[in-house]
Amino acid sequence: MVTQIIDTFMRLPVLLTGHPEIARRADRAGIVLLLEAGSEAVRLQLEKGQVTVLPAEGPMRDWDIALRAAPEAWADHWQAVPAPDAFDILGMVRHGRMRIEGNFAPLMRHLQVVKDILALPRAAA
Amino acid sequence: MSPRFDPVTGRYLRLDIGGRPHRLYVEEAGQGIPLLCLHTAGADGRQYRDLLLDESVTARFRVIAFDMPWHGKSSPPEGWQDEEYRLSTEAYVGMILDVCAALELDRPVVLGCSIGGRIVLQLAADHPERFRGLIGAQGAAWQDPWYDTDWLHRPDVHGGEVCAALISGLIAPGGPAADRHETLWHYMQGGPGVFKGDLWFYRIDGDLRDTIARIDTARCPLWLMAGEYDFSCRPEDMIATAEAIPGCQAVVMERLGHFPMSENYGQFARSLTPILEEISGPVPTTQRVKVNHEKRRETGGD
Repeated sequence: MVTQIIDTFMRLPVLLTGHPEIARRADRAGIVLLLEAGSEAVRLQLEKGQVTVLPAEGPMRDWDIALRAAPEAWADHWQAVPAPDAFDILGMVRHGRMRIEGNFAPLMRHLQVVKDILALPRAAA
Repeated sequence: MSPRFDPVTGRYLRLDIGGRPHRLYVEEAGQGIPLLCLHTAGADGRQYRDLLLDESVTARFRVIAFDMPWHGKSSPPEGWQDEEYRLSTEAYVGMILDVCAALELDRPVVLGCSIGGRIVLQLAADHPERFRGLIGAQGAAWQDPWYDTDWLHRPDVHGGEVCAALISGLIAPGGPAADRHETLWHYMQGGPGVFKGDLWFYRIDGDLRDTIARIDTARCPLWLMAGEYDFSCRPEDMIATAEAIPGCQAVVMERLGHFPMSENYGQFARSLTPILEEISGPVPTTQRVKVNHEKRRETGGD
């Protein structure tokens, strides 16, 4: 399942191109997320309305904030109608299914657009 | 073609709250038992727009929703620019009693949500004789915080956008998209620091876990409700409070979150209607008015 989740992270740039309304709201955003699914992770860079998936491994791979969850939790987040413990990233933290660590300032500046981008696989399910 | 007005009256009420003059925006519809509605922190009385239009309720109840001072169309009191807004338990109770007195309400029912669902517990403990019934949606004596309210009011984060973004996950999926986004819009429109100021009551001053020991539901019936998607006031938070109050009735609502009356009124009405009928008595079949709960789009939820 880890591979499936990482593959889904890799599809986020393509999924975003189908949602210009989200890209418009992300026009001023600048943030690098570490997205962790179990033992593997990627970095997602959001810059000027576009997202790019970058490797997490290697020297000096910096990021602003990390979202760490089990692969099953990400899969549940992307269900067409997620359960109450998987619908929202902050709710997942409250339910003990995700950890968010790092610099919260860029996340709070762009919270809705980050939520919307991370939920894109739900609409594509 | 004549204008198409909703059958709702909006007026400004002049009154003193806490000894200071206020001009409070009040909407109402219907006649009968007064039903005073309290909005959530950081929002305003528009959250009750569909309840005000529910003819099955307004045929028996005078539904009243007001914007708290600092919210919606109720401006802060004179001198606001020199103070920090902080809602205290004492001030919140005083405001509700002042509004009831100014409107000359005879033992109203109070329906509150979130901070409004919390404060009904204080009303039940200290003023049961003044109310016919108390209903707390998303109401619990206490729940643990899940974010730092300092993010709600600071110069490097847009207040309206972060307030809405924080609470967006508290709206259940699958409801009407228009109602989800109207609920978010209310949060985007809040004044700077007002949501944070409301949460002074919720997070700091309003721990009512000891207070609820004084509640006697024989003096005033009490209902608590919680939506299954609310991770702020979770169903287990509400149930823990209800179980600590003998006679308190608890309702867990499916497919709803933290804003049941605003995010999906049709679904909320399924739980609210039996409570209102218990208060007013059952409606004779011949007097039932067609309910238009499902008038909103049921498709396109996100």
